[in-house]
Amino acid sequence: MNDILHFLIPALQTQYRFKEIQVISKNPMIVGTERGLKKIRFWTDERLLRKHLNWRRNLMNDRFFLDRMYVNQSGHPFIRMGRYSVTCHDAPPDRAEFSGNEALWASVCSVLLKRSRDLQSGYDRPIDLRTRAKFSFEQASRTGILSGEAGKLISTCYSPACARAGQADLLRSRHQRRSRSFIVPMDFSFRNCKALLGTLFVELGQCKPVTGYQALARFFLEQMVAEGEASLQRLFISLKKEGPPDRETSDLLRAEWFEPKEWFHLLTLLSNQPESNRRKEEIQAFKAVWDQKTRLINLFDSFFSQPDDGRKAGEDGGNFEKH
Amino acid sequence: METSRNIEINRILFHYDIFPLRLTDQGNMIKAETSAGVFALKRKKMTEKQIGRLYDVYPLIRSLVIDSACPLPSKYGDLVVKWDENSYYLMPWFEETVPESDLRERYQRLFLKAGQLHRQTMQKEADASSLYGSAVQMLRAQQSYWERFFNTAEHRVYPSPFEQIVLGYAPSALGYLQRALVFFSQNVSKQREGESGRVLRRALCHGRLSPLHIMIENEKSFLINFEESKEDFYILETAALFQQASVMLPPDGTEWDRLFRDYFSSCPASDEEASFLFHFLLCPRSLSHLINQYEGKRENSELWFTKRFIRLARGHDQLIRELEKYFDDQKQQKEEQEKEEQEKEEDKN
Repeated sequence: MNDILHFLIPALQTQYRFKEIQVISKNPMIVGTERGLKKIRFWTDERLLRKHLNWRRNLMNDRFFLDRMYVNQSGHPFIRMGRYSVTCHDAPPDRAEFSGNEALWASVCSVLLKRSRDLQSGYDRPIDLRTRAKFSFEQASRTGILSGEAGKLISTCYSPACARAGQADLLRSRHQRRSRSFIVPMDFSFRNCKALLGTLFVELGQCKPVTGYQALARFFLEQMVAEGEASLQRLFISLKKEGPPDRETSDLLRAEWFEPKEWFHLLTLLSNQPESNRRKEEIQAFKAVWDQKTRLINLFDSFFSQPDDGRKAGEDGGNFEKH
Repeated sequence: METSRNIEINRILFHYDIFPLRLTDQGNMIKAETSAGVFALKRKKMTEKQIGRLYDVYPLIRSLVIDSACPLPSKYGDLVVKWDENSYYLMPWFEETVPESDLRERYQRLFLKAGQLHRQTMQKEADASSLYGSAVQMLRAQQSYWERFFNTAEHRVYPSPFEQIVLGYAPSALGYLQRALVFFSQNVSKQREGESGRVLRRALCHGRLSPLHIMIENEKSFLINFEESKEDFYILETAALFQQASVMLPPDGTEWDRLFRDYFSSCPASDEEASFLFHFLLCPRSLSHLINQYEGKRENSELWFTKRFIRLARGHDQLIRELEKYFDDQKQQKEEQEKEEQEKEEDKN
């Protein structure tokens, strides 16, 4: 990479008509110009770059900005430098707030869910979570690590965790066929979105596409934790106005929340470190996530319930706050 | 300017990496003064088809085939930026030196630019048989429309002043229509009898030629607003331009000969195209449109309609007379030139 840096700055100046340019950071590469900060991306796979170009073209809309490639003076969206294809992007500095911008976030979710789609060969994760839960629990029981407060909690929650795992398995099993699923680049995160001119600027990353339900489910959960239920409720109201999610989206988002990752995580911590000074915090974190997910599923279902959704979250595991 | 409007404009200008120092809203045009220069941001509702047409024309303008002002591409390469149901495009700002009210000068430039556009984008001849067929149908419909109006007006005990004026024009109108109908019908008949089909040339047509769609800065002038442009038989657009000018320009004092020379020196018409144009223009469309307005929702006074008819009829008569004279002169000049050349050849021999 260092070898092309000597040529990069003059090339950017010529190709993108920057008068002033200076490197602000190298990884990611941000340059300051008289027209603001710009992000420079290096691509080694031109096929992936072209895929990203089409992807961004599909997502063009009039509600928020999208991280698109600048065209150079010949009208091409990238410049070739040795084995790299180099693209130039906007790099707005301000982080996007969630609270107060729920309608805009709903637009982002809606546009991505509708248009960021491609053929994916089924859900690429192991689906037999219930068996995994059973196996992990039995193994932990045999090794005698389920004593203490955390161990008792694991045992108490074993049955609801199995029920949740089973529910996640069931929801995912409905969508095993090849279909045009919701995708995002592997390095995509809603948290990377920026605030720009009273709207959002969505960065689309530069990695290969992966199924996007995990990122979206994580985003909803994080916002529920950070901003509270009322804020997420406002987002769901806006999302419903934009057009409710389809069956696949609804099922696979719920499956993400049903999956008892926090239970597996606590069990792994117990197995790896039977004694820990941070155990109390870990238990609190487990309880908090478990409860937030229960509330999130109930909230989501109250807006977007589909016929034959199966049992509600509360029936599967209860809520620690009530106990 | 309103804050929300300002935000929207700033969002659009972000697509061009333009940071305005001053914005002046002039209706559908926003003047953006920036450190990089002065720009005109145009706002309008555009369909996907219209946007597509701009993209078709843009390469021709970039390659200097057409001398016109086209939207500047955004930093992402877009010619049009859509935001909240509006479409925007950015152009260099022109300080126009000819006011919009100076129709004489504007048409002068427009005739020249239209001719250049058609000439520069001219394609090969194409079969125009269906155009002749359509012309016959259109003329028959016009003929029966006028006859029906005359018949109704004639049978009134007291025809209105407007109807009286139209009745007075009946011989001219029917004469024009008959002459045009004979020309187009003969061509259609010849074709049916096995003669080869009629051919006319195709070219890029602007689609909205108007004195307001040309920017004039001193000696330079540029066509703008290409969103309706498409390839077609160019002579149809020429006819529409001539007819529009006959409606818009004052009947007295219009230098038709100069206008025709400007157009045809840029884009010479073949004999067939010249005949088509002349006969196509014979049909008094602007007058038919006025009668239609009179019969429909009459939004103006009787006096207004009467005066308007007199003005349009004079304009139409003058256009036809001047065009016929122009083509006759051209024909005569051509014959004289041929004769001279023939004499020179004979002298050589």
